[in-house]
Amino acid sequence: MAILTGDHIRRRLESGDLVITPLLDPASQIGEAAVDLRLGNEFICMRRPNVGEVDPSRGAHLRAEIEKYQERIRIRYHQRFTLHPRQFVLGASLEYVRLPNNVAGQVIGRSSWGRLGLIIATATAVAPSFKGCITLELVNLGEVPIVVYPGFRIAQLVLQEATGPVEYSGRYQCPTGPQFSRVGEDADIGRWGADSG
Amino acid sequence: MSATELDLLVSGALRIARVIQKRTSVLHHGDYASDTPDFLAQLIERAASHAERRLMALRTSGYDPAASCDTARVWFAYLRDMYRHLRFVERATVRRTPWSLVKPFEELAERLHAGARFLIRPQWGYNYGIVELVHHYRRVLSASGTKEDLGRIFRGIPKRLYVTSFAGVERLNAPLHVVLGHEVAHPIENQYFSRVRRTEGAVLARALERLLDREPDCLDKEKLPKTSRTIKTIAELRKNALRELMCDHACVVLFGPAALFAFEELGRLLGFDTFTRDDHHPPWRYRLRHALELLPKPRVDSYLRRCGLPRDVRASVLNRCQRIQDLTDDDTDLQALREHVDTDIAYELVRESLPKVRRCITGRLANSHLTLSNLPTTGVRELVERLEGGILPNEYWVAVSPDEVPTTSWRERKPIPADLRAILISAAIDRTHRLPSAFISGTTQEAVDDYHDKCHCADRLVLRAIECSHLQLHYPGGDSGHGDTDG
Repeated sequence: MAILTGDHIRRRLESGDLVITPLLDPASQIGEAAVDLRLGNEFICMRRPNVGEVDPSRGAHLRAEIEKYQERIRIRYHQRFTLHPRQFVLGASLEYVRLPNNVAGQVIGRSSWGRLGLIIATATAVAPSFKGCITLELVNLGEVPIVVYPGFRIAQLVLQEATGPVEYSGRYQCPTGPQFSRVGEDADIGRWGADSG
Repeated sequence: MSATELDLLVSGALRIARVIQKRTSVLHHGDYASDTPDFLAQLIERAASHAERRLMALRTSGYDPAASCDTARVWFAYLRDMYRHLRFVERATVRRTPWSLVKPFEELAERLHAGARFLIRPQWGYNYGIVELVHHYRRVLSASGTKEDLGRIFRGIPKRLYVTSFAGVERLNAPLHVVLGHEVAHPIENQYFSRVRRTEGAVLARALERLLDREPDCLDKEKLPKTSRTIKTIAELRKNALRELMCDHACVVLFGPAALFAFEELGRLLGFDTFTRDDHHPPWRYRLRHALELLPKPRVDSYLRRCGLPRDVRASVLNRCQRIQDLTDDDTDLQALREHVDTDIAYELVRESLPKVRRCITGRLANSHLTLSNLPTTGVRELVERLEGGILPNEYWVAVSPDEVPTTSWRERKPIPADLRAILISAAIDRTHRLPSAFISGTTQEAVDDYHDKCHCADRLVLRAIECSHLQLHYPGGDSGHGDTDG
């Protein structure tokens, strides 16, 4: 698996094989071996009301439960979003990505943000053929609130050539913003729950 | 009315004025896609504050119940309206609107009406509509305010502010929202009918002439009241039909085949032959017939060819045009209109006036460089392909010309942000191309569900694409700087 250099990325973008759009400032966003991703303007924030717990083994009920405990919000460009210490929110990349079937991606944080305590993603792998905005799990591990704005370059996408073509068959199809977790759809998750014991 | 009753009335009105001001202070912090809702909130707040001052003055000046009663009642009615108008602002938040469409649509509308602003908000009713409020408030307040008062109330407020409504249930249905192109043409037809007000007498005379042909005794003394009512109805029917047809015309010029398909969708849902005598709107079959006259199948074909669309896509679109043609070949709407003397005469007069009103709307749109012959074609093919492939249709790629200043990013091809019209036309073409396979006779519910899922996905992509292309067009940075490899 070879990492694509900036030059390869540009060529693939020009051929239409790889799509990362909108690239508002390609000259600065496409680095030597990665593409900087900007923060989108849609977030899923957590509410802590009357949901006692999230039990993924509850399968079908889980989605409704999660949607009760998470709330989707949109903010305008140039509007601030404050991430408080230890707060966890789902954001998404501003860019919509379509990977070729022989290229996989890794989303990684930028160290400049990491040094402020902002962690960008925990699930970093993007499968070949994936289409959509990439959901980013944002956590402020610092001691003071961090203000972010949509459009900030907050993460990097590293692209790697796969050894063969793969068609994406995942559960997140063409998302245009952050997605709620669908872990309850895992094939065997119910078998391991307390009710199946 | 006793002094106590009057005092209660004034107190009630004052309470509403204060509630409005309190509510607007909250609405100022709402999350809107543009600053237009904030302008309306400001206007309502200032109008309510002016009303409060007037009511306080009324209270402190010592009541003369007879003189003050009417004033208090009028203010109470105005304040009730102001409170109702707050819902326009409240519903214009990003959660309730196809918010990414709002700013680009406002910009398109402002090309037609310089200095005017457009607020887009959902409504519970299944319809689209438009109403102007700045002029309305100016009219209402000019009777009670000094020049200084009015200057204070309208300072910084746009010359005209139109509230355009869409069917809330269709919030994400991007291709249907091309109907907003119809709504933004209403101010044009309004100006036209204000200009030709002097000729209304001639219209009434023509209506009477036709009525005399059908009912020679209509001028008999005992029939005069009925005849007068009929003539009035005919004039209203004619005017309202022409208003709608003018705006349909504008919508077709703005969005080409996408407008035809949106009209068809509305007609299918609301009834092709439904004719309500309350609003005097022509039946959808009638409107579709006129829209098709502007954009007949061969003209659509020529447009699709200029876009470079592949044969199968062209075939789907032309099939849909043919279905619309078949719908309009059926003349059940015309038969229904002929059943009543008033509608029959009114629509005869509509046919006579149509060429003139069409010239007016064509000329007005052409002043803003909006014509049927310059419907966007560049990039439409790629936008449709992108949508079909599940990619945002926000841009298309063109070859970098050899004499262009080289950029560090693109060597052979570069992306160009698509405009709103191109994106919405592509969305309508893409949806039409998907349509036949899902609805061929004997299709399964599963196939229909799949079609709706795909449409929903495409709608999301289209709305996001509109947002992204707008961002690309207005992004202040550029092709400069160096990559940050520090990580």
